[in-house]
Amino acid sequence: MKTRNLNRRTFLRTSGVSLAIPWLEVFAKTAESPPKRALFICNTLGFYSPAFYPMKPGSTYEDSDYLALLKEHRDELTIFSGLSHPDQGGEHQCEMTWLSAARNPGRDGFQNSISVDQYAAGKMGYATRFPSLSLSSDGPMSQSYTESGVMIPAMDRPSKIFTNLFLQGKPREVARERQKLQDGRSILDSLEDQRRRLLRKTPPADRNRLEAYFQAVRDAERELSQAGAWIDRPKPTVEAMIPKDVPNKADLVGRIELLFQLVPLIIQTDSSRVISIVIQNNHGVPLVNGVASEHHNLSHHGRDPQKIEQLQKIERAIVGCFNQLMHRMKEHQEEGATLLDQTLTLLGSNLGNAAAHDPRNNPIILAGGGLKHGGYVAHNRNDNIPLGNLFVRMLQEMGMETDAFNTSSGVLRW
Amino acid sequence: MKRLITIALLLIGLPAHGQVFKDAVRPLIEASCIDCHDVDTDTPLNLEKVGHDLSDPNTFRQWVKIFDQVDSGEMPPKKKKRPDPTLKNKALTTLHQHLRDASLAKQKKDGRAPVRRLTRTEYEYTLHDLLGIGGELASKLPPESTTSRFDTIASNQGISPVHIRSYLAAADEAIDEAIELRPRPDPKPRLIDYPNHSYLQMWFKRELRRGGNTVKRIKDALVIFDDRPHTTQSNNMSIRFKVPGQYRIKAEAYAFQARTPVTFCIYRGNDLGGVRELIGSWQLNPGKPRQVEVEHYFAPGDYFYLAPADLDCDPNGRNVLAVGARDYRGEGVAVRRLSLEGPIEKKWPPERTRKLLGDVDFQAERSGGNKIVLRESPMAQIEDVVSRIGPRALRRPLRDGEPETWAALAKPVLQEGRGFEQALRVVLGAMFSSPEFLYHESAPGKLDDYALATRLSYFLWKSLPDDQLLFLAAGGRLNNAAVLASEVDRMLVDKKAQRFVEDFLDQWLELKEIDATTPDEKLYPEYDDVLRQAMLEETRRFFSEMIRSDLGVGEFIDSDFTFLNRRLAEHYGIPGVEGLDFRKVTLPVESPRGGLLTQASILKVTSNGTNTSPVPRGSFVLANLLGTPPSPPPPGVGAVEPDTRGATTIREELAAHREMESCNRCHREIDPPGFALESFDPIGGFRSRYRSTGQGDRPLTKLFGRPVREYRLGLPVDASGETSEGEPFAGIRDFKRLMKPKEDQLARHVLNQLIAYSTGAEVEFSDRKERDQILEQVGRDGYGIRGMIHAVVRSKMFRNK
Repeated sequence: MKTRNLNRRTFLRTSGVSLAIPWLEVFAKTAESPPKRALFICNTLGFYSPAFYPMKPGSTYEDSDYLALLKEHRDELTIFSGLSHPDQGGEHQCEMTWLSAARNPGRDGFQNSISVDQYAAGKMGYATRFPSLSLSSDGPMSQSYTESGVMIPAMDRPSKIFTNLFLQGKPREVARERQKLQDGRSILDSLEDQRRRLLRKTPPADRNRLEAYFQAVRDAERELSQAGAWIDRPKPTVEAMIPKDVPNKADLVGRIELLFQLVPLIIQTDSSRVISIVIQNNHGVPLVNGVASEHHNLSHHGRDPQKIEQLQKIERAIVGCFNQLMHRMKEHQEEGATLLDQTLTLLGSNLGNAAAHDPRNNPIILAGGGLKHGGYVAHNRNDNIPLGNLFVRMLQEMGMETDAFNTSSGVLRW
Repeated sequence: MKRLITIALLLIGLPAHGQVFKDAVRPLIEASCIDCHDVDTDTPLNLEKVGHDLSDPNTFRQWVKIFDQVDSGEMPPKKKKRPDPTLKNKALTTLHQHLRDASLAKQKKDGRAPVRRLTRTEYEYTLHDLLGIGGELASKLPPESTTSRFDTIASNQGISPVHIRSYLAAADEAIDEAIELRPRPDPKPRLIDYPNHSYLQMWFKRELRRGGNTVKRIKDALVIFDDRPHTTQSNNMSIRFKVPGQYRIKAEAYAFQARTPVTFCIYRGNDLGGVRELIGSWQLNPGKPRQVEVEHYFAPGDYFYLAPADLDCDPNGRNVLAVGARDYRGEGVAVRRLSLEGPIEKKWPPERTRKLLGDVDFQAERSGGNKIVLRESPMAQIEDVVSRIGPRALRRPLRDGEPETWAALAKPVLQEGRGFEQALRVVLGAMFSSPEFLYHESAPGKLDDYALATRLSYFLWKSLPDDQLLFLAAGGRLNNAAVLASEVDRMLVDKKAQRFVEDFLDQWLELKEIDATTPDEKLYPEYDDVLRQAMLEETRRFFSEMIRSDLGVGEFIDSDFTFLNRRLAEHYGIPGVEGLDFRKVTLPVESPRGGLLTQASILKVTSNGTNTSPVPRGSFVLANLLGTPPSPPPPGVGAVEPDTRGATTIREELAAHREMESCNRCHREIDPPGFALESFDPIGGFRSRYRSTGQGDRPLTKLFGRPVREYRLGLPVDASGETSEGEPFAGIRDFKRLMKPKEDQLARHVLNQLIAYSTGAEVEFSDRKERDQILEQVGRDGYGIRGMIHAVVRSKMFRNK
């Protein structure tokens, strides 16, 4: 049952992509440098911190258990401790605020706010076919939230993501899709006509709610019109076969691998510049050698060494996937820089210690993005620095003029 | 102008208004509260920072909390000095009055419940009922917010461009299914002759090590011994569902080599969504063959497959994968043949298409498809569709000229020469994305008859009002108390009321989380889909029976009956229940079962896959039944990491936990119900010893007709404890007895849930009076559930916006 079928797992025909890189078409004329991207990866059950962190801060740190798996990338990544969003809590509720930094998730009166990926995507708009992509190892829950705090569902089927991104529809299908967009736009246009009549008889509190609906209609209309502009441009072709989805939910590693293999393709084809990936819904016993319990149960290890050993096996497998991802991102060049250099790559978790549901001291690795790396930056574990400060830095590196993101208190430098 | 002045007066008036209650509550706060709740203390509440403008929702919420804590005596804490009664009384009276006034003022201005959106479940049912279709739509819309218990709570419903785009896409799919013009599928039943089917021959012949020989061919049948789908998957036998609809499957099966009854299952599968749905299960007794039949909806891409359950293995204790089907002596299910009929339609194009399009003709095309032939102009026909569909979809009569306004959208499409069908699609797409379709909106004050019909119908049917409700609304009769009551009765016996039962329980009792964890295969090998389905069925039937017979909420705590089929009865160790059909069973006197808490579904959603903890189960009792959710550990300080190394049981771990005062405040309430439920494992089985994969004794019970080898029996279970009031209990039966006096509290919580769920807004401060009146009134009849539903519908809360 646990045999690993490499053919199924690896859908890339060669190690890469050969194509005319779309961003060149767009940007070469303006002599801009290739754009910076951002990739956010969250492992919602955290990482066992003694296996995650090195003993000593600085650039001469000795590899921890997990960092040893990433040693070929040592100079391209930085490890952070002592970072977290303020005012988090409530078991796993902080999953939904990891990218938004909204306070008090799950408490009475809680309202989520825009996530950093959507903030960045909003600034870039439809410069790419997809302003952002939210992916998940299982299920539609994502960490991407709109300005009004509504979740944007994640995609969890690699085959479908691949189809959307790279498979050229037949002319008839494209025509049909174009027609649908057009019809969608005229429908949305017509809804606007109902606005005035409806709002006239609405009490003030409801007026705001209906206005939010009409705002959503206008935004959707704009999105459709921008998406329409991409319909006639051919999709990039990649040297890869359509991936075969892993239907077994317990095959966590298989599912993560497929998502991670899509990332270099997305970036190299400049299909999107903001990607977020949630590793979640750890159903059943993950198919990892030597693991006999559910992932979530193991995360509540109660310091039982046998459980911790199994937990580490799962986490090593996840870090192993990340290692491969970084490896692939370094294989490809774009204007003399690797894809990794062009991509601010964040791996972390909303839980610092899942065994106690502790949302402080998030395990964080930032890689690539052309930043100076190679060290372990330790901040105060008892008095954390807002994780938002790191988000601000990432946004700035992507060329956005901002010095704050939600609960940030400044910009993180190291 | 007059309105402007009033607003101005209100604005100026507020601070003064705030001043009055500030003066009244300040002495109490300064005497009894401020020592622990000011800026310098690390309690979550800082009274210096709480404002006095009660029109601000956050300030209002904080004061309500303060009122409740002081009123219930929770604060000041027991070990502190008691506040001066006069001071306390004055503060509470004034605070109460101001909170009620502020709450009433808000309700008067905006109505009690904000305008609410259809939930994605409601969206699906609505389009199903409106168009006569059956395809999945809810899963195509964004997930609902999980901030409140119910997705119907308007203030927590979000809206975004993602929603809007999903509505367009979902409506498109719904209309695709509604307008069915493809060639008529062959009405002849398709037969699968399993023993002779060419696809199966390779699985019969192939050796075990190459994946074959797990199924067997006997003279007149195929025999299956395991539940892996590939050998009987219908899409491998060239049966594909080209058009969506209801299909009928008939099969003939019998128990093979069986000494005990076995179970025959039919599943629906779909590889795209990873769907695996048990659509039918039947008990086969050793001996004669049985004809089984099931009707179910299938969509393109779906397939079905056959599986056995409840099989004993061969006499040597091995299963088919170890032996190979040819020499296997264990139990199996023999299937002779199967027929598939459908889609079940009397006419083609189907009734739903004809009903939607109205007075049109169909002409067969050379391709076998159908062409719509209009008798009127396309515009006139579209106006006709709108004037028939519109009032149902929008749940009100159309205004003068409204059909023309909707139909106007068709004009440009017709001018482009894209024809009637395309034009109609645009019009319907617009209607199904429109605010009046998606939102329940109404003016503050009393709901008009149509708004009342809508609220009622979305409460009990999760969908749009039917013709009778709309007819009563049109006659202005729905607001009549007797009419309303008889409508509630009519609606509750309708099959659609099952949607309410499922949706309400899914959220109130978190049954939608049934699959959130998967029981460990080694520890709980007996868990399977038949048991899973039976668990949910028990709770749903139990609740339906409470509605039907108007049983009191006390039955939630303990009852002398429940609903069982053989599978669940065996799981509970209750003899004498045969077959897989559910029925009401009187519980043996000595059974620990009875009430909600001992139902396997509840026990499953409150545990994880491998073990149980008293904490989530205790919190469930407090939050979901008694309505007193424990506050989460305070940020930063409450996160205590359990250390199980030295401790032998979770009980000792929690005892250590309760020694800390900050933990004890809540855990003395949380832990006891959880302790009482320790007698039940993660899948709801009764246990006197914990199962273990490590050390322990071999169980004497049998599993799959052989000795249990997957797990051992470890430490004994101790389900005793002491309630926070100091009452000792020996186990669950004692505990249920101690819970009986909490019936009033349970009733209040259930009532609160029904009010919130049905009106789209939680019980507000100024609603408390009416809520308590209802409680008193239904309490006289023993808190019957049906009576509560009636009382909710009769209430001002329900009948006003």
